[in-house]
Order: sequence, then C-alpha cells, then structure tokens
Amino acid sequence: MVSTGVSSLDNLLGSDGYPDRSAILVVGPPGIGKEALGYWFVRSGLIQGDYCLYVTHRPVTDVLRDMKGSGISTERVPEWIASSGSSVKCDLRDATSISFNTKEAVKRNVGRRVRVATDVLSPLLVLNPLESMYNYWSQLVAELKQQDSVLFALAEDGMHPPNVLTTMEQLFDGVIEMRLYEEGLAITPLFRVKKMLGLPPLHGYFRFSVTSTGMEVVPHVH
Amino acid sequence: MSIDVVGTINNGSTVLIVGILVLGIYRALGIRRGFVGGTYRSRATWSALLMLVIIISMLSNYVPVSDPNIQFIVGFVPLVALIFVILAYGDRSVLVAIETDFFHRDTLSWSRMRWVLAIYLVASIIGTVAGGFILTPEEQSSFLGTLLSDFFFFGLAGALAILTAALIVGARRSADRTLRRSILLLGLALSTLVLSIVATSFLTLDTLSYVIVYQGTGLVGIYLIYRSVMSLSPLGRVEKGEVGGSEPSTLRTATHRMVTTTSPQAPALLGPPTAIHSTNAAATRLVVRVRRDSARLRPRPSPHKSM
Repeated sequence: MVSTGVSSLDNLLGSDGYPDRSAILVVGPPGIGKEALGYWFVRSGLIQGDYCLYVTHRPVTDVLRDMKGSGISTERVPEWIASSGSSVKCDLRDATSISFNTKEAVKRNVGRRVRVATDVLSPLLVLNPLESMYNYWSQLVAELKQQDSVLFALAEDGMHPPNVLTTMEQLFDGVIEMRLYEEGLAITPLFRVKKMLGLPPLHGYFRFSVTSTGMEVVPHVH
Repeated sequence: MSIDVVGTINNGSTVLIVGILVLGIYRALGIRRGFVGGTYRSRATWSALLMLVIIISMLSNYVPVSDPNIQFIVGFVPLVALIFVILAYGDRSVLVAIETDFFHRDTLSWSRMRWVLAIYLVASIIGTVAGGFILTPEEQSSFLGTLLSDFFFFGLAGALAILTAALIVGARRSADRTLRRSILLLGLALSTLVLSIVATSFLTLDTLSYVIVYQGTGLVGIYLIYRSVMSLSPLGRVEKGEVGGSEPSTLRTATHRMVTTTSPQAPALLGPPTAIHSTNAAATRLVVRVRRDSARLRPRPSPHKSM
C-alpha cells in the first residue's frame, strides 16, 4: 500500500492508503482542494524515499507557491515535467511527448517505488477528442502499472460533459470525488470514495478541510 | 377601500428581492468556505459583497429623512458604492475570463477600456455630487440639472453596456466551463440593469408601468446574480441514506476496525457507531430467531414413551 500522505484518509482506505500499482483519479470542481491531496501524496513519497514525478501544465514556481500555501515544506521537491522551470517541458499541444517523458522518467527508476502526480488530464481532455484520450490514458496507466508505481491524476468537474469523466473513471482503480453539496440551505464541501481497488464499495460522505497544517477527513453526519 | 397597487407591487417585490439576496449572501459565504482556490473564493466574496450593497442601496430608499442634503447623501452614497462594486467585480470577472481564455485575447480592448470607463465614471460622479450640493432643488429640476443627471445616468448605462458586452464575450472565450457560466450569468444580470436604466428613463416615476418595468427587471437581474453565485461550483445533493452517520455497516465496521487498531483519533473518525449497533441488534435478532426455530424443530418427547 502507498500512503496518501493524509493519515485520516489512509485509515479510511484500509489502513495504508492507495493500493500498490494503481491509478487513482481525484475528481472535483476547480478550487476545491484536489491539488492539496496531490501535494500531500508527493510529500509522503519524498519522505519515504520514493521517486516522485509531478507532471503539470503550470510553471514550477506556481506549484511550489501552492505547496507552501498548503503547509508543505519545499525543501524536498519532486522531479518536474512542467510548462516552465523544469528541464523537461510539458507542452499540452504535444500529448505524446508528455506520455513519453513520463514513461522514460519512470523507467530510469526501476527498482524504486514511483509516485506520479499529474494535473494534465483535464486540459488534454479539453484539447483532444475523447476517444484518442481514452486510448492514450489506458496505455499510459497500463505501462506505469507494470512497474512499482502509483499514478495520481486530477480531473476538473464542471469542465467536461458528464460522459467524459464517467468514461475516464473506467480506466482508474480508485476514484475519489470532492465537491460542494447542498444540504437544505447550507453548502458543505464533502468527499466520497466512488471506488477503490481491493475495497468493498465505500458508501457515505466525508467532510474534509484543507488547512496550512494539513488535511483532515472525517465522516459526515447529516 | 382602495388598494395602492403601485405601493403594493413596490413593497412586495422589494421584500422578494431582499429575500433572494439574503439567501444568496448566505450561500455565497458557504461556497466561499468550501473553496481553497483563490479565484473562486474571491468570486464568492465579491458576489456576497455585491448582494449586500444592493440590499443597502434598496433599503436606503426607506430611510425617512426630511433634510434634502442628507436625503441626497442617503440616496446617492449607496448608489455610488453599488456602482463601484458592480464595476470592480465586473472588471475582475472580465480579467479572469481573459486569463482563462486559452489565447488570452484582450476582450473588447478591456485593458484600455477599463481605464476610460473608470475616469468617465469618477468624473460624472464628482459632477453629480457637486451639482447635488451646489444646485438648489429648483435648479436641479431645471435644464442644467436634468442635463447633469442624464449625463450621469446615460453615462452609467453606457459603461454598464460595455461591461456587459465584455462579460458576455469574455465568458464565451473562457476555457473554464464553470467560470464561463458564472460570468455569463453576471453579464446577463448587468444587461437587465442597463435595460432598466434605459427603459425607466422614458417612463413617469411611480406610475404602474414604471414600477412593473423597474421591479420586473430588478427581480430578473437579482435572480441572475443569485444563479451566477450558485453556478460557481457544480453542486451535488447528499442522499440521505448515504451520509456518514447512517452508511452501510460494511464500511462502518471496517473503518472501526482499522481506526481502532491504527489511530488514536478513532472516536473522532467514527462518529456515533449507530450502524455497528444496528448490525449487532440484527445479529442478536437472528440468533434469537434461530434458537426459537430450532426449539420448535426439536423433537418433542412422545406421550407414548412416557406411558
């Protein structure tokens, strides 16, 4: 098992976190805190000595600033494939090179546990037809899972038609949904594990909060 | 007994509008709390502020003041605050739309246009304020006073029309579907304000047609602002059977087991263990039933043997 970096989430997912050799998709609207979950996942990997790769369509400086905002020390940083500030560039118009560079970086670290976090799924889905993206991601996920790696991808809810995300969810072993829910007049940010490899269907909602000291997930009582 | 139709429509729609706005502020602040990202938090805050200023400017009409100078201040200051908030929020929305456009196109030359509009509005506000204090009530209703008032209101309508157009075009260009909807609805809300200013300027104050147009466009505009806030994030509905306190026993038991063995935060994570209790109760009922059934099936001593 691979720690999520958030102890309460590790507990929720069956003591140790995400399953080995898995692909996890976190779906949520922009601004809800999906990235924070990715930062804690990467941070946990860096502490444990895993090889961590962060593939982003944003500049490295922006991601580092966000990490600091989430209370994560940037003394240890992952390897980057980013739009700027990294030796390997992330060009959204060239999806093939993103996939190739990711696989090459993972191949260079055979024998180590690998964590890949990425936020390029949604932009690529906007820029490319769904069919080609389905093939692209299924191939990437399959190749990464051949090695001891966990892929953590973020998808923007509200940016794609519903069928697009439903289709992409089929490719992933675990799907976590974060969104705002209406409860009467109140609006609450809640968290739901839609599916997770090796676990029975997890029903129920969980409240989450992202602060500068970390992230907390607790069962939500109506 | 005669009914004051105009007054009733006026007051009724004001109550309705204030109700929608209060609900909107509450929900905007709720959405704000749910966001971590700056852009969305900021939009929720601005929306709440805009709705608050609208409430203040609406209710300022009901403040009983006899002194014309104080009446001018009570009426004009909330209006100026409202204009500034609308323009600032609109400006930020256009800039966000430009930022989220893949090609970062300068919508309607907004980078230059915003300064032109700001200077024009500040000048017209200063002119109107000066006129309000310098001119007597008679002079205010003279040709010069009307010209000054028209200069302000038609200028405002023009500025809002340009802002509305920039919002609608910018929303269409934004790559972020969520923001696109929110910005578009804000643009449409401002278009009702422009329509209201232009349409009511041709109608006599406090007539039925004036009130219907004024309050009708106001209601539509306020509802669009409310929808703009609500579309800041796709909202889900919690299914009552699936909330944490009553989720299926599988997870509750599993969570209970792992948390009690691994984490000292077990009680906090678990909440009230209702499902575990209900599972135990069900198990107890099952055992009782099995015992009862087995007792029923147990061979009874034959009366013949005892004989």
